[in-house]
Amino acid sequence: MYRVFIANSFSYEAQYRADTWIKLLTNFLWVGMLLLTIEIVFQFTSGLGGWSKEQVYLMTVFWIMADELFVAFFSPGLSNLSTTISQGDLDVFLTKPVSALFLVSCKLFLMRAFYRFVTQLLILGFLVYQYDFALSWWHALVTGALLIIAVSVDYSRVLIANIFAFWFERIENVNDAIGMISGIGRYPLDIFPRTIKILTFTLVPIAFSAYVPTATLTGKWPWYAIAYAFIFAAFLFTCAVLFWNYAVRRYSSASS
Amino acid sequence: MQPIINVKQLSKTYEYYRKQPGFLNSLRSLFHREKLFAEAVKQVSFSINEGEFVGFLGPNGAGKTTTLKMLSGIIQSSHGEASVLGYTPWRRQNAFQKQFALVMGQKSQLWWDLPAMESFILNKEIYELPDTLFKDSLAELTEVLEIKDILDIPVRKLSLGQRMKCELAAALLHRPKVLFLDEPTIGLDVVSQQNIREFLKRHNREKKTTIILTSHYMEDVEALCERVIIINHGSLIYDGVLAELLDRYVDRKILEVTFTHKISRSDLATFGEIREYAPERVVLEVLKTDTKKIAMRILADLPVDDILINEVPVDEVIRKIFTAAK
Repeated sequence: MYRVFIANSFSYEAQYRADTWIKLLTNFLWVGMLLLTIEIVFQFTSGLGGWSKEQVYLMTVFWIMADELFVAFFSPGLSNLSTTISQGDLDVFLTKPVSALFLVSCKLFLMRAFYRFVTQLLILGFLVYQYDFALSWWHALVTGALLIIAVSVDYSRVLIANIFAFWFERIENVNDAIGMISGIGRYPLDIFPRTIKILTFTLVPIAFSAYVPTATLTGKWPWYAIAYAFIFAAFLFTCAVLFWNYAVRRYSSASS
Repeated sequence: MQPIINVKQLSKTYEYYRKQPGFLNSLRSLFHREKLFAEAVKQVSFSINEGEFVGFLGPNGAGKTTTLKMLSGIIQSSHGEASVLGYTPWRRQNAFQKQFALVMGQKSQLWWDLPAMESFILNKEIYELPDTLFKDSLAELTEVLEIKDILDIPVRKLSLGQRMKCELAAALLHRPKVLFLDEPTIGLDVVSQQNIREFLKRHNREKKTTIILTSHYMEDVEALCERVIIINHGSLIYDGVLAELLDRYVDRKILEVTFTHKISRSDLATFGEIREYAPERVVLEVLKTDTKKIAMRILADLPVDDILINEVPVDEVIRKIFTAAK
């Protein structure tokens, strides 16, 4: 079924080609600005909360990669949940012999985000080459695992926030808020006070998209930190799904 | 015969909040809201046998759609039981969902920006249809609905009538045993309405599909449903054959008379209640039992050019029932 989703999404985007190109272009400009900012900041300092320039680069690229993967697979459906509910599309999903959560999350695959992910992968390759980061199959494997954990935490976080649309019809702003908060995850979190840092590992889990992976990969954290990340991601995902089931049981549907 | 749909004392209560207009009250409502309950469906019971075509009638907000939503498992009941094909709908078991379909006139299951065919292929995957069954169903439905030529046009570019046909095709691909239709002809022109009606009638007859239809258009119900269930303010007020409904609630007939020359209004008032009057034409409402007698008197006393005896229109009857029940 996922094959059909991807095929449909492909033709969907093909319908709006100009839009796709413009969005790709603005995105490249944005990524360029981001990397340029790092370059400029490091003109004036050699470390940021104990992080070197190449480590911050790595962190930024990792953050973008996780974000693009999330956007490609889940974001188009998930961040529109409130519209899906208020326009009654959820009614249709709920009558299908497939998980409605699956339909909501995966119906649209954003191809252009996947292109961007691939570009980031190239930049990552360049960073590894340029700054002599250690590279082995083990690293690649851990990178993959950490990416999956990062995307899963992103997914659960956005899902939980959007489920509130079942009770409060209009919550489009919630996604802007989430976007802003998770943007903080790009920075080396050591620059923040201790309490805030702890929050980012627990209640406001934004540390998993960049900080945790980079810290683990660069040896700032021991390898077994992955275990915590994994358990936390699984826990959060379970909570999100349970919350979804609860909301759908109490769903009252839009009128006619 | 075992009924295919069984509903016992089904009720649905919605919670909602009262909000007074005005800025201060809006501010207040952020902290404290008055909770109210609306009973959308009250202890409704009925059962439907396989192959029946049942019309659900009721004014806006009567609880028709809410009932359909419960029967299709979109929402849970507050009280009471329902079983469709032996399943409790709101448990949303896959085995149940593969055997029914819901078509809503105001909602679409087709991908708006893609040709309908893409949605059909997606449904093939969702319902896990074998290739041969999918091909057969598709060939048959596109043939009968005459939509072969529009399958590769993006849905947003189709007319409402074409879109509705595609919706029906999408819903019937998996050959559901039970079909719920929520105002399928809403907004359609007369010809399209007629097409959809004919298709539904044929489908019901040939496939023995059990169909429940809600509609505002009495023509839909008259043309399609032998049996009607009438709901008003959430309660069931009639369940039975449409013809009997007319017998029970209508004690009048309509006489439409045209004359060869002008007749004054006062001359006509003695025959019955005047509904419409023009000097050479009158529409009279008379007691059913007196119809024959009055018609003969008119023919004898007045210069009649033509006389017609009609039934009271069904939608008028329904309207009367609703206003009486208020």
